[in-house]
Amino acid sequence: MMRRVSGLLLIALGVALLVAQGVRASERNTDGFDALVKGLSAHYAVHPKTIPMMWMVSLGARGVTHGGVRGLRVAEFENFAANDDTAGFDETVRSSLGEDWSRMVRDWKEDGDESLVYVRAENNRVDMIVVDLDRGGLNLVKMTMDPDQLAKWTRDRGIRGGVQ
Amino acid sequence: MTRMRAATAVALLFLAVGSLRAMEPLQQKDDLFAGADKFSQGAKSTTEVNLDKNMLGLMGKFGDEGEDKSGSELAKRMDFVIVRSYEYAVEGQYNMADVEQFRKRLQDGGWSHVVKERSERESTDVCVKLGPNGEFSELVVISAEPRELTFVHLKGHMSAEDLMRMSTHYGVQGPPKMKDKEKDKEKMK
Repeated sequence: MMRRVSGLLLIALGVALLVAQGVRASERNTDGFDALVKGLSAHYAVHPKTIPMMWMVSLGARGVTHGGVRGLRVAEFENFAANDDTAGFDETVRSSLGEDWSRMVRDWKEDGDESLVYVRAENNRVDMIVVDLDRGGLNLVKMTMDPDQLAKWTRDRGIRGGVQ
Repeated sequence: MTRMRAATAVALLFLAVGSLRAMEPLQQKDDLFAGADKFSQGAKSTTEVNLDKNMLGLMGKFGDEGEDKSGSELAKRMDFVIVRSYEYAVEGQYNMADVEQFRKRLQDGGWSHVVKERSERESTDVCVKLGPNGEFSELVVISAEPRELTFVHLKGHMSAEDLMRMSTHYGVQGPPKMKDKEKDKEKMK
């Protein structure tokens, strides 16, 4: 009897660990862009402007770059005010995106303008989110790239960059 | 009973893999310039760049040309590039004693001072750390001007040639070569 109970406990533990792992994996796989838009909308009580036909622009970018750019998403907040709380704004962006995004660039100016570039790389897929805050509002752009394909596309057109 | 053990083992394996993934560095940390944020107080602009090994690897791909994979090869030899730059509207917005604290960190731990330039209003320090095979394993630049303060930290396994290639790529003028100096003399004649 005791062996059976301990066996069931082991299975329960195993299943619990698998479920916990699954939850963590699904948290990681959520689209950081949606989380960012949601986080900023909730924190600053603003809503993004819908940009019509954005899916077509995204599709066009994919076609033009031969799959180098896999997708584009844009969110525009008009009359967005971070209330001179740069640290609070940065923290809202960071916590909304989650831990699998790393900040590559931060450019801040005393008039309140700020640009942040966050990146998440996984295998041959790179997600980049640009956060551009200025007096006119806030713009968020997400670009999903295939770096090998995009590098080939830029090389073929004589566009040079990166580390040489 | 064997099935139960297998289920537990699999579950533990998943957990271990997940934990390892969670332990990966999410943003490049730099102990050397830890605390440099204090210089942003009173600055009119601040620029921070953090390029970790992953990002350098991705950027390196854009430096390749056809069969020439030197861009990605160089990127593979680099671990990180960190830049902190602060610009001030007026002079005297940062304390030179604070900068000195960062310079002191370069006095120990195998750092060699290759450039130490001091003038009344400006100073530049370039320090390198060499690896076991004589290659550059780290390079630090601290440049202090009345209205601008810049910290740069590179880590990797780079030859002098690699560094020159990087500086050329990013538009940093290196010291003139002897041949160039001779050409200049000929032009003067």
